[in-house]
Amino acid sequence: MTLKQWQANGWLKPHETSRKEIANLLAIVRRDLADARAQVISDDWRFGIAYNAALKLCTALLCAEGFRPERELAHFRALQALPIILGPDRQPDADYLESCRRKRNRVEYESVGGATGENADELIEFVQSLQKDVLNWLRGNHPNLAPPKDSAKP
Amino acid sequence: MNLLAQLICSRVRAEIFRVLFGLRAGELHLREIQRQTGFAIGTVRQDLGKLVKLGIVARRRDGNRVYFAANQRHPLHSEIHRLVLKTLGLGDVLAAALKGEGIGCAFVFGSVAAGGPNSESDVDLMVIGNIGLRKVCALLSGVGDQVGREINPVVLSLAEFGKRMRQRDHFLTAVLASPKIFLVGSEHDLEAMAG
Repeated sequence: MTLKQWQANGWLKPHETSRKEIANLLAIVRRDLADARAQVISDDWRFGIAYNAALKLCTALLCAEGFRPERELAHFRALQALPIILGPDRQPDADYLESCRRKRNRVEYESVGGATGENADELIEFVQSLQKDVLNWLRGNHPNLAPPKDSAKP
Repeated sequence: MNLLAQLICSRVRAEIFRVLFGLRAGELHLREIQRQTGFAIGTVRQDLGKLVKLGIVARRRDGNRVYFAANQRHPLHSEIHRLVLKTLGLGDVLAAALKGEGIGCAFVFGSVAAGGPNSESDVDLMVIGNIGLRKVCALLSGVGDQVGREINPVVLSLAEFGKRMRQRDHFLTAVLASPKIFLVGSEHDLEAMAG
C-alpha cells in the first residue's frame, strides 16, 4: 500500500505543510520527551506523554509527505504510516507503537496502573532513537522542511 | 460449556477438535486423546469414528496402536483450525509465541480468561520476566491477526512485580484475583514469585 492508496481509501487527506509546522511538531516532541522523564507524575502519565511524542514524530512524517490522517482512527493511521514512509523494516516499530497506543488509551480512559516506569523508560528511549531518524530523513528527503541543524538537537 | 462446545453442541467433539486441530496438534494415539480430553475411552472412540467417517480426521493403525490426526487435506480443515484458535486454541497460539524468551510467567486474564469471551473481547495478557514491552510486541507480531483478537500485553519485570506486590498495587491485586489461563509457568510459579 502507498499513501496515495490510503488517500483513495479515505484514510488520509492532502495537507500542505510548512517548515514552521514541522518545527512546532518537533518542539512538542522535545517537550514531551522532557516531561515524560519527570519522576513526580505517575508511570501511566509518563507513558502517555512519551506516546504522544512518538505520535507527533509519525505525524511530522505524514505532513512532510503531504498528508494528514482523517479523524477516524487518526492515531492508528499515523503510526501505521511509519513503515510506508521510512521503509518496511519499520513494521515491528509500528506494531510496538500500536500496542503503546492501546495501552495509553487504557491507562488514560479505563483503568489505573497498566503502564510501568520501565514501559515508560523503554518508550522514551525508542522515541529518542526515532527522533534522530526522523530528523535525518527530513534532511535527506525534505530539506526545505527540515530545521537547521543547530536548532533541532534531539 | 465453552463457546466452541456451545457452537457444535458437543463437549467431546469440542475437546477432540481442541486436541487435534490446535496449534500443538499432531498425530495422537487413542489413549493420549482420551487423556488430553478427559472423556471416557468409549465416548472418545465413538466420536472419533464419526469424524473419521466424515473424513475430517485421519486414522492410522501401527501394530496394536491406532493413531488419529486432523486431515489437513479436508476442505474444512483450515476453517476448523481457525475456529479452534479463536475459541479453545488461543492459549496454544500465545504460548508458542512466548516460548523460551526469559519469561518467568505469562497468563491471559480479563474477560477471555473468565470464560465469557465475545467477538469484541481483547485478550489481556500478563507477562512477568526479564523482557520489555517492545520485545513482547515483536514476539506477538501477527498473533492478533491469527486469532482474530487484539492482544493487550502488560509486561512487568520481576523487580516491578515484587514492588507492586509489596505496595499491594490495585491493578496487580485485581489481576491476580481474577481467573487466569496460564501460558508460561503455573499458579504455583506465580505464588513463588509473589513470595
